[in-house]
Amino acid sequence: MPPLELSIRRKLYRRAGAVPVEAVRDLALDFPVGSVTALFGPSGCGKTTALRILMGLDPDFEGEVRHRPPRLGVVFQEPRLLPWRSLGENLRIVARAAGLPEPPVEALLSRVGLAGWAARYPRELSLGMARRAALARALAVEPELLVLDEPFVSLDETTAVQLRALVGAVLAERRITAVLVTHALEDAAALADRIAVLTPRPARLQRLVTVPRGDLAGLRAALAG
Amino acid sequence: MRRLSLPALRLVSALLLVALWWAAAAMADDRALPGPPAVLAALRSELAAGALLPALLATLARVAAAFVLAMGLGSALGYAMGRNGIADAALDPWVLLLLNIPALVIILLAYIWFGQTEAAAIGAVALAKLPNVVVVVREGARALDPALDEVATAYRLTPWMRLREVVLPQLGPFLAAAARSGLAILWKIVLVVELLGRPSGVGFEMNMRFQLFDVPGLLAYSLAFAAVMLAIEGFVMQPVERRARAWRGAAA
Repeated sequence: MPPLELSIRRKLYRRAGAVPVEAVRDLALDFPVGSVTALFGPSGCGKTTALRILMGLDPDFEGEVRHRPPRLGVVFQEPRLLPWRSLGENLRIVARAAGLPEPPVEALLSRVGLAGWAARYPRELSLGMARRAALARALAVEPELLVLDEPFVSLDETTAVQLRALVGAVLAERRITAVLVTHALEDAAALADRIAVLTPRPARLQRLVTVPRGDLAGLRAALAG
Repeated sequence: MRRLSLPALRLVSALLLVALWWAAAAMADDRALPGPPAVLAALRSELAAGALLPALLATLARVAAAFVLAMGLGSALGYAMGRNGIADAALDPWVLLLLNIPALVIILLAYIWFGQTEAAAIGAVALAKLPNVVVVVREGARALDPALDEVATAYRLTPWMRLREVVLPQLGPFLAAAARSGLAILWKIVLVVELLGRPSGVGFEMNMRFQLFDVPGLLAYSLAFAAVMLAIEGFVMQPVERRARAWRGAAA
């Protein structure tokens, strides 16, 4: 399968009676199969906008997205689980939508540290647990592209470290193409092998750095160089 | 303690109402305000004569048909208007107009334009209720969480799955409110429709009793149908609503 390609010439946010805000300009990236790419940049620079376009959530832009894979797993900033469905049902619904048979709910929840929680409802979970459940839901569709939008924000340090380790392990054990949006260098270094550094708004590709996963010092050196 | 006392309080309140009625009847002219025994006797007599049940069923059928029409069409229109600005702008004047036309006018016009037919009667009742459903469901559609919409899009839920898993659970409380308030108003409008132009039903029977100045019979029919509607509210509407809201009760 050819790699996913993102090409945004321009993305404007228009509001009635206000000057349009340019969120992204001339951003072109491809995502080789099996790679983990971090969109790294300051808060509010347009990373999430680019990600929403990549996922097909925002069709109002100039440019194109080519070879978007049909099965997409997403961990949004807020977990966005269906609150009226149990965790097990949350996983089953997306798997069914992806045309897959009954997903291994218990195994998936167990993989993210939520064994025995299939019958529980999202409101019973802490934010960290809900993020884990959202990761399990993303994995339930056997994703060809895994999208992680600031998955560690608003978590306490211990929970963030645990979740980062979990995401890292999941990415290592499955050869999923993944895109991670983050403004934290540690997250980018820990999980990604390609770091797309974006400029402040409007987001443009400043540079694309390739470093081995986990090499924070190497990433710092590459960015400084 | 509080849980036990609330139903008891309801019972005492209901008994007090009956007692007040009884006392008022004892003081008033018996023909104008009969007491509970006289109304019960009339109820038994109508039941024995085989007139009460067919009348109740005829009215219930009209209520059901108008309810389904008003809820179905009103929900679809309300959803479309809540989600689409163009649909909202185009249909809002119609809704406003209908909201401000008395049900009685709609009924009379329907009978004049389409004749005193079953379709005109049910259509008029549904049309009288329609704008309320539209307005309530439109508010629900406006309040839909766009974040969950994005989840549905990202995971490529089919339109049916999106409706069932994402939209309807959020619209549930609004639909329940529209249905409950709708039912409460709708059956009263059906009685007027029957009174004005149908040859059957509780409204028709009440008109007959009115012509004959048969107040016990009039009260017997109205109380019997009110009891049926209360039973539907208690045994159908409230359990359905409780079920729709059950997920909120999951222990935190």
